[in-house]
Amino acid sequence: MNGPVPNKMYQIKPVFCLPDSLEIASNMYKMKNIHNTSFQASNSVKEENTVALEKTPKNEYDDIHKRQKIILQQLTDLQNQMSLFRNRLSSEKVLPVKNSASVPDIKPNSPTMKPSFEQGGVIYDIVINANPNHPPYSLLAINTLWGNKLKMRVTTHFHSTISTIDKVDELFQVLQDNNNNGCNSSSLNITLVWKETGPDCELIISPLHHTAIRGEVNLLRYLERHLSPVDSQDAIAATRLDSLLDRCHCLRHATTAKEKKSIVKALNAALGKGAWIGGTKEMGVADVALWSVLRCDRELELTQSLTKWVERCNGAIGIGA
Amino acid sequence: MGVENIQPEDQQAKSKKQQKKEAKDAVKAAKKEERKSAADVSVVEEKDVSTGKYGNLSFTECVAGLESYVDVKNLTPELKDKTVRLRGRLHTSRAKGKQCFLVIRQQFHTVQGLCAVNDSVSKQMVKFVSNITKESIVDVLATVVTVKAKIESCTQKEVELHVLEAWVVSAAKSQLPLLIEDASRPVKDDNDEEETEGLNIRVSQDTRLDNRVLDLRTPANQAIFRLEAGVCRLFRDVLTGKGFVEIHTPKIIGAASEGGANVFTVSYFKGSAYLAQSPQLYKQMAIAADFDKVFTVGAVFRAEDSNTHRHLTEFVGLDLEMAFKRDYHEVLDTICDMFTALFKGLRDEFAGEIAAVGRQYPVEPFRFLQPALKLEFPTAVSMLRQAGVEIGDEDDLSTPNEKLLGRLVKAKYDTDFYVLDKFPLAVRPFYTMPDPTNNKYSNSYDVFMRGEEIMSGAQRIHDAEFLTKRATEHGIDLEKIKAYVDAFRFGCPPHAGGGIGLERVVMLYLGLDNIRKTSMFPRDPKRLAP
Repeated sequence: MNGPVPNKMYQIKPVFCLPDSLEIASNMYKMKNIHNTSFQASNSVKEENTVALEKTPKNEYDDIHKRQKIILQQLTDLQNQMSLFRNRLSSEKVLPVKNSASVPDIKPNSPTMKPSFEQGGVIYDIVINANPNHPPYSLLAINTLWGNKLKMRVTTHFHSTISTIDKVDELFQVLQDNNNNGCNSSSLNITLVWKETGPDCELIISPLHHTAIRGEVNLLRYLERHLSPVDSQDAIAATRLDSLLDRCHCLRHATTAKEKKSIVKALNAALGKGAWIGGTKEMGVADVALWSVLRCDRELELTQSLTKWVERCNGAIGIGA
Repeated sequence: MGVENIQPEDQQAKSKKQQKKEAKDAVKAAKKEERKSAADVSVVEEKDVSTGKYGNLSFTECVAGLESYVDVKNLTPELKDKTVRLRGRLHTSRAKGKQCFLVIRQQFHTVQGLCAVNDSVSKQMVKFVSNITKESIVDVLATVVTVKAKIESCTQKEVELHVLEAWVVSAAKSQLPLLIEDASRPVKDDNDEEETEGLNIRVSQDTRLDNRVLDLRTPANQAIFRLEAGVCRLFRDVLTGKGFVEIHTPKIIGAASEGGANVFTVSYFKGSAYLAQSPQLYKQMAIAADFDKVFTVGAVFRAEDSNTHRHLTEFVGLDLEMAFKRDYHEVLDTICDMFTALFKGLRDEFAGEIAAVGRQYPVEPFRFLQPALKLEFPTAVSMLRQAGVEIGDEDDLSTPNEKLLGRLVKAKYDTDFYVLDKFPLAVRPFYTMPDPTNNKYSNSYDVFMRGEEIMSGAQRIHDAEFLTKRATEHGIDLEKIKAYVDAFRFGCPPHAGGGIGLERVVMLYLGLDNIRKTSMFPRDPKRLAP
């Protein structure tokens, strides 16, 4: 009917009609037709990539190279240091005692006179808790011992556990009076608290980082380690001093007369014919420690040379018997 | 028909049943009657030997007899075999056959009494005594008897009373909203709770406050408010001894002091007025009027809608202000001395009260140093930094930091009381005097108890011009503070001062957990009664 259509077949209606133009749904991302990309096109992309790689600034590669070099350099430095240390340590092992002077090198403290008390301009606040029945008399001698190195500032308080104040020895008033002699800047602030503690006084530096240091001799030991010039810390002398201080501690805690007698005897031997117990030219820490113990326990029987020594101490510290 | 037929039968049956029942009842009644009459007979036979020795007193009557009254706390073995008369509250009573044990309480002292049938005490009297309601006020005539085994449940452990006469002076309702026994039960840690045997009834804070009259009768509360009175008296005594003058300042004020926030507005005839937030201005005016050293004790009002353990809307303020000659540390030293004298007085004079509170609440003894420990703000900052807190030089202390600092100070110096001096100027009010040597800091101080701030004080600017300048720097409307500034126009000596809240001091001294425990009738945003 419509044009030249062979009449052999029936004419049928088309099953469906395609619209003239297809409407593509807009609710999807549009993508490139992958079938249209030819092999050549992909080739050009590859070329572009290599070009781009070549084009990146060379200094980035250089930077990485430099960094690597630096790291390698640091590593070799470290290696060298380690070998140095190894040499030194092995040599120490051979001669442990004689070479002990090199030990302080490892210590973080520089060999200045007042190492840790003035770090970063921080004034050290320490608290000393003392029992008025067992006063730590050695505090009175701190100025004599380290007066040139240490500027102290002492404030005295009474803790609420003590009901009567008048018990405390008036001698300690001197400590507070000394505050005014020095200038305003002090390197060590001591808060002396009279408190119901045991016979041992307590030294609290920082409750966060340390436990309390108990015992008068340990207080002295702590100050001594911090204040004495490092090069004088000869291991043998230090051990000797430690044992003397321990003896003083034992004497304070001795209960029987026999015990006391034997310690006094030993200390008398340590004094020998010298002027001071430590065998030093000046009054030392051991002298102060023993002097304090003897002052607390006046009924102790002393030898003649010790009695003389006590007088010498009194004179040096500037306190009458 | 059938139904009608049944009825009479039923009636008959019912009446039969009824008859039976009635008969039974009659027998019962007869028996009862019999018993009753028998009892009557016995009463008649046994004649009450104690008549005139017990009963309810009408409120116009008083007990006959010439014996003077004895206090429970004075009942000691020394009074053995003596006859004493005493008035107290019936704490508990327990009847057991022919005897009745009772505990008589006077404030925090208790004594055990025994009322047993004997020649002079009749069954009726024992019955009467055992029926007296708890918390009633009773008058008792009794013989003091020493006991072999100590009575652990009473404060007077060595004696008991054998009751001869018992009179009820004022009876309490039989139903009490809370029992004193429950309200005074020791507070224990939650961990211990499971281990404790028997009852562990607790009275909630609200029930306590709603029935404050009953709650206040517990030994701990008796002690707390005696101690509070002690704080007030010691504050007065110490300062009067130092030459201070007590002044009274108005509580109704026309202009809002201290900035104007947190004040209560009240109607005042045709206008409105405010309730005083702080007596500071009046203290300072007294200084300007040449009173030299003044203190005041009085109510202070804060309209802060904060429901915390340490805020009240009305509390008792203890304030002091003092002129000085050279340095404001004169004032700070006076304040420190006042506090240490206060704590010493409490420690020495109120040991019994503190122990009584300790029996109910866990109380750690308050530790302090004399003279008080004074730290400077930069020291506190470095202490906090050592503990790992990040804080700037001029930052104010936050509440957690305050608490932490309190713990650090306690660990190092073993003191619950300390003073922090030289606060940064930036965090203080405009009237604070800057430090003349370092304008970053100010001549101001905070006082801490158990890590909580209780007093915030400072040297005040006493020059009107400088005050105006500082107020402008703080961006404060000059019109609002005109009265304050004008007070200094006629010459005023340099002065400093501070104030504390009585309730808060008592709370922290005893280490209690809530300020409502130390206010007799607390006022907070949610409570106006009783």
